Amino acid sequence: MTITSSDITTDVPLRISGLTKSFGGVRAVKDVSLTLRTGQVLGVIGPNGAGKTSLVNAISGREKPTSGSVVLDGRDVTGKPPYYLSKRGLTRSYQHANVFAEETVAENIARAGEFAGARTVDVDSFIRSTGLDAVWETRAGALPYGQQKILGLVMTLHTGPSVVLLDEPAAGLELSERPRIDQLVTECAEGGCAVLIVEHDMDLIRRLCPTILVMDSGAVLAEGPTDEILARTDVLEAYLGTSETSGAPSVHDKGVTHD
Amino acid sequence: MPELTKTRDHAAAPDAPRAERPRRRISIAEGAVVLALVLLLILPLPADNLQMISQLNQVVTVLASALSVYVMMRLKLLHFGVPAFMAVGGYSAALTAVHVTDNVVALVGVSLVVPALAAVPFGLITMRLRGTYFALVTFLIGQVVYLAIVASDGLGGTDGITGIPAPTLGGTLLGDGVATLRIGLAVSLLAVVLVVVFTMVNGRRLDALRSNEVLAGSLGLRSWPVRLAAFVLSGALAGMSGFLIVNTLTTAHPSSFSTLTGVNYVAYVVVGGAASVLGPFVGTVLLVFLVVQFASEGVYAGALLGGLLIFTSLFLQKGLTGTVHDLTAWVVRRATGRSGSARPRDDSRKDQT
Repeated sequence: MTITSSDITTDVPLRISGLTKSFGGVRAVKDVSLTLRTGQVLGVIGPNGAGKTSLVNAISGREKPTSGSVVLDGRDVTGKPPYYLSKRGLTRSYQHANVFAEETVAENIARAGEFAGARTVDVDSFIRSTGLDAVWETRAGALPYGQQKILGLVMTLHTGPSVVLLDEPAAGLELSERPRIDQLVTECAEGGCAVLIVEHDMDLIRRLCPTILVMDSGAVLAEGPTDEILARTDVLEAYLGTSETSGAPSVHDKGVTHD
Repeated sequence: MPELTKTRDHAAAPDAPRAERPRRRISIAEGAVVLALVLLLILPLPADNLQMISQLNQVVTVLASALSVYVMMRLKLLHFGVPAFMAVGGYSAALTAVHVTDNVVALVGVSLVVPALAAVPFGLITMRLRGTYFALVTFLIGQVVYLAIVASDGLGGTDGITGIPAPTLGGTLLGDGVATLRIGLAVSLLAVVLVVVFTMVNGRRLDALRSNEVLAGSLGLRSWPVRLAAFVLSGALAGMSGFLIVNTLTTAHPSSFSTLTGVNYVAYVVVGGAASVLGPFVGTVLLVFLVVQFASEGVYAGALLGGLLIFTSLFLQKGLTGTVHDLTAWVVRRATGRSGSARPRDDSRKDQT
């Protein structure tokens, strides 16, 4: 693809253009375009099967896109493997807890630091504020599910990303644990990261994401300011499968959660 | 509010957790194996006890092959192609001894370097393979190499290469049983040191790829150089073992490198355990000893060894050393009343011996 001057704007670390991912005859992601600016937190919502995780997989190199482009800091990285993208500042977390289960929390953090190499950033404050210091020598697989997910997020941030893709970070977490996601995302964005969050928890989306992108059947259904988008009837229909009638609650009001 | 800031020195409060790299150091198990081999190498050997010399030589001859399997098992890959690289090393050393030099250092070097180089293209072929596919393809590599040797007139075909001169060192002939054993001990020591250094440098990468390759990649770990390096080292180790076989038999014969013998080397690691070099060491010593003891039982020897493998696979899945380690840890926890979830911080997996 041709790299334009807008692609190498330092304020836009990630630019996705016409991204499509097909599995055989099924197009899981259809012609999705988006940009992430430094410090931006973009929410991606949509019903189950909308293609949100496929989008994250295609961007992060987990799956090779069928067509389209992924430009990271002005460099075309379409289809590059995850390690390549991570070394250049794009990393991701997973929908399910994904840690080195047989190793201690300390070893998990140390591995993230070693594999990230020169990009590594200090996450000691995160470790303390999320309570991981209290289980520092505990085997990661023995942690409660929520703590494993938090550990996975801290490891992701330890790699010093400029772009972070979070795939349902709140899924499986207790309500009391969810503010930790807010803290991590907020501090990451304030530190200069561009954050993309795939999430079903609308309360979390409303708290963290000034703008959202709605996907349905692999395509972008709507994109824009969160409050405005969540009030749209076509978004509500896509989520709940019903037509909104006058006076019916919106996605915003319902706080839809598919966990 | 804390910030994401670049850092190198982790200047945190003294009692704060630090996302630092635990120091890599040689484990007790690795040290024990090195010490055992050094002691055997420098202490006087009972030259008149031919049975002991013979059994020890059988152990050291195949120890490097077991280590060859062990290196790949650190990546959760079953390598059945070890005999192929043993053949490459053995035949390379044999040809060198017959046509070039019988200097033992040169022969060891050839048996190390040539299989390592031969492993590069095969390693590139197998890099994308996992699980059953890796095992199957490495087995087929063994078959291909074996058939190539049998079909090669230059390598003596089915007759192999005979009349290989005994190695020398500084003009001294190293042809008797004790000298052969000392060569085996020295080569085994070199093999263990190579493996220990490799796992000290790459241990975290190997363990990460074994336990969660997807996560490791997401965090920035490039897997193929680690896999290729392990495969090349595995080939070099097997080649050194091939040289020891040729040196012991003074013949390079295809039957010494039959593909099916690869199962034995896998068995040494499965029985001994794959947590550290102590596992293959214990497995090799035990199974070679049992084979010698059962040899007089004829057909029952295979059944007894097969039974041991089945028992280990069913009930001792971490091998003997791993099981002993777990039992010891359990006893210590019971005695001290500590929680089972806490683990030592530094490279504790390597100490599962």
